Amino acid sequence: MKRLRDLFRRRAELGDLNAEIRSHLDEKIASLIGAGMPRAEAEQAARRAFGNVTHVEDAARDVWRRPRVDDLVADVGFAFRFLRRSPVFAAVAVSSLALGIGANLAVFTVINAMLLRPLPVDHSGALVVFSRRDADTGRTNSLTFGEYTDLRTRTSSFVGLVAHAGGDGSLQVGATLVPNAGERIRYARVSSNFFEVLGVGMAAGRGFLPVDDSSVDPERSVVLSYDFWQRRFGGDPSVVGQPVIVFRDVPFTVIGVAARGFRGIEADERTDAWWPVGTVKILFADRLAGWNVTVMGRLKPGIPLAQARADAQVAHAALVVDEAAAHPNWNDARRRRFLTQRFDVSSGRTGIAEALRAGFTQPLYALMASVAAVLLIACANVGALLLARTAARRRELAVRLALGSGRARIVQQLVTENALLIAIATMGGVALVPLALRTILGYAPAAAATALDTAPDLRTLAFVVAMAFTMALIVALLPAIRSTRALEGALSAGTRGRGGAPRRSRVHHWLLGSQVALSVALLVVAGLFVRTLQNLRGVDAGFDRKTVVLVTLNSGAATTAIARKVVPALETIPGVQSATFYANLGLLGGGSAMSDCIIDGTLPGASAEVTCAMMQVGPRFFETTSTSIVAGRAFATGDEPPAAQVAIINETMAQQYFGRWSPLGQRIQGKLIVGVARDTKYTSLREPAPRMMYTPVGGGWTVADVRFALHSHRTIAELTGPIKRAIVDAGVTQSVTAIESLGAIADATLARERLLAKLASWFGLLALVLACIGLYGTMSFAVARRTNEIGTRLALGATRARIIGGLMIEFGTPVAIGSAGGIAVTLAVSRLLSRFLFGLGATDPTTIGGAVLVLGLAAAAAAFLPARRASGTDPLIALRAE
Amino acid sequence: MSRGEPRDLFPGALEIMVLRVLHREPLHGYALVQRIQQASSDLLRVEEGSLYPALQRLLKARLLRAEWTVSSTNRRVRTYRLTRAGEKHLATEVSRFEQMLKGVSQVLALRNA
Repeated sequence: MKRLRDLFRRRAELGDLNAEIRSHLDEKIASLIGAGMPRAEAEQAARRAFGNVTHVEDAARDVWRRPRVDDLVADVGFAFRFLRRSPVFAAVAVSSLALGIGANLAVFTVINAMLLRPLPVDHSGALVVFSRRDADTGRTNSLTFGEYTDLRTRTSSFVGLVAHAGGDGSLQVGATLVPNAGERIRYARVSSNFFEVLGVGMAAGRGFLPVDDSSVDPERSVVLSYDFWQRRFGGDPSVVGQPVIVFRDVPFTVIGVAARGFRGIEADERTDAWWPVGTVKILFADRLAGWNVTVMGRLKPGIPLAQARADAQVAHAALVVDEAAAHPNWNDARRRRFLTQRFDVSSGRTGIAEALRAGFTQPLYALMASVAAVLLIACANVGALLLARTAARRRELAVRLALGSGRARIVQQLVTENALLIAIATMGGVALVPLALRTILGYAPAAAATALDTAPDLRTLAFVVAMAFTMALIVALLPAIRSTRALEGALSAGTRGRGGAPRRSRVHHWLLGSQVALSVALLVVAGLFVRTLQNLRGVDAGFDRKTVVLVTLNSGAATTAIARKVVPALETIPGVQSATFYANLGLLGGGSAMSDCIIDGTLPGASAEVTCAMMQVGPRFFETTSTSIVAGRAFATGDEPPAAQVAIINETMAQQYFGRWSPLGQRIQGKLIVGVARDTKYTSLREPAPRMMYTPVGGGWTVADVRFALHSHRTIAELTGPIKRAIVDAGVTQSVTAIESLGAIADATLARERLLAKLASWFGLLALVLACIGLYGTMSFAVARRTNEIGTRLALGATRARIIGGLMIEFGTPVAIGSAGGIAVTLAVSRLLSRFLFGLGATDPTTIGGAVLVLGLAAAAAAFLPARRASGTDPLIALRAE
Repeated sequence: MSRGEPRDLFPGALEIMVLRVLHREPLHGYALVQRIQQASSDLLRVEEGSLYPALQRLLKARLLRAEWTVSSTNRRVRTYRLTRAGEKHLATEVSRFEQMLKGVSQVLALRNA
């Protein structure tokens, strides 16, 4: 601090020393003249008495000198000039490092947003989240609201437990309903203690009153997020207390606005509105107890996580025993599965984003590793170039050393030059982050891409600092120390510098080899991911992706009653061959819950499996989605319950349940199997079809999760207007929230694979380019240093081809060894990789061979140019230079 | 001070004298030299230039402060005066100096055996 102040005092206190000294001399001369001395003599005498003016000035300035700082300033200036003198080198070094830094920082930012950033609530470290998995499949089994209320009474380690069920929906602002006027929002139904337990304040109004959600009639109230309040109401405080929100045809009163910055507990969503979970009862009178919820809790102060986990596990174990006892009709397999579920309590500091984290955590860390490898390549590259350059400056440095510069002083200067490079590159890298982030998030699931909080924070800052520090170690310090080590002998050894040369080139070969290894590994990984994506895109989904369009009303909140009005309207649209609807998801809408599917009676070879995915479908479903029926028949009029009880199962189920026996005529859950449909993908193109059973939607049913499908060869753009009009004309007030082609939906299930393929390709390409730049640079410097050797050989009769061949072989060795190393690296991580691959193995020889070939060709091209230039050396010039 | 000019006096002596003289009255550089030589009855030969590095050292240590003024001979001069810290420093230095002189003169007063 004092040093900093001195920096500013220096100028002020030093004053105009020159003027002061002149004034001193004038006064002296005047007084000497006054004493009778002639002017010329007086001037001389005054100067004699004063001493050497220049020395005095220097000595006075020296008082203020801060040697280290002044040296540093000089070094930075020198480094700038040095970089300006070699713009190509500076551009290559800075841009390769900047690309590496930008990519690393962008990937880290996504990791930070998805996995590390704590919720903006009081003491987020005390938050925990409950989870439960099937012991056999590892699949997550949601807790129900009934179980949540049970856990609240059975545990004692928590200040409170909250229940949370997020969803996408459409709400309308205003007191009356207007068709197609809704807007998509992310909402959550939460237990009424939600804001209190999380410790989230209100920006306006109040939170929910703490009531017993399961028994008391719910408040018809809604709490808005600060952002939504700003966006939709311009932050108008008078909306609090007003019934200005209509959700699923029910008006709600805004009672509060959550604190600014709180966007809910989902890291991958931005919640716009919260309802009390009790409002489920308004729409579905008896379904609250079975409603799936996420349970979070806040630890009592001083209670460690392990203790709370044990407490909750005991409570859960007692709970499932009670629950199983209440269902005497369950068969043994079902009972065993239910009782062996694994219950866990883990930190809820970063909120929830289960699906996203399950799918992307490992890929993101894999990408982080790849992108770190790219940066390492860039560092090795720049390090090698710097080493080569300092080698070329050996004479300059040796002269300075001989003239009395300390080695530390020279190292400091070299480090300053290199650190300047890193500083510029870091700034460039940071500037690239927004672009890189947009690219990465462009491949991520759309909702998450907009919701993730990617604002920089202390963790990103720490990451940048750590990255710059690591680079400084590799790029700046090592070459500087290395290149001054052997300097003492450099002057006597002459220009050829025989002394240190073999060792230096060994370092170069090491750097080169490791760059090649990392590049090959990244290229292989990129190739594997790209081919995985291709394989998945080409996979047979079982339905027709090109001609099926899906329409969603009010985010699936349409009922079967509405569906029966909408379908005929859709079928009147020109170019639409047929339309249908279906309920309870499927057709890649997911739906992870499996229902009971138990064969009536016993069959030889009947499977022990007792569950399957269920889909309720409207008329002409199989025809509309082009799902072929491989045995038996499709549904026909008159098949609907309660008049008839029929079902169609898919091939997988037929195979697993009945083996070589025909399922036709058999009964499952009391339903007669009339047909077998082709397997169709259910949750994603990646996963094999589950066991599936289709049933017709019954006459009087009110299923709430309805989607529409229509078969048409026209494009989405052509169909959008007519579809919306047809739905309004049918007298339906609910808004259309999505019109998507089944192909696009299928493609969206490949978000992870696409992200991996695209980014791995970018990184692989980057690595390849960097490795080639490195090879080119190293080769150029190597041949420049050996000009007279090459000249001598040419003078002695060596042909150009031989010179080129010799150099290529010399540099081919580290490339070959590096390639082998790269293959070894990919083999080492093949187990890890294969989890993300589809339709090929991690050791796929074509991909590995292709990667090596691409790198080999690029490397050969990069090495050939300088080698050819060297072989064109004029022997006379080369020898004269000696 | 490592690169300081060779001085006729021992290190630090000039600074104490400057402080002592300025303690009496604020002065500018030329007047300061005159006053020191006058006060020492011209026994001490101070190279006039060496005064300025000494003044800078004292400024840096915040024992002095300086301002541009107009002298009695109507010249623009930089006048130096003691700060509070300078006064304190002077007091301690003078007593240390006297201790040292006392020690030196006792040694010099040794009689031959």
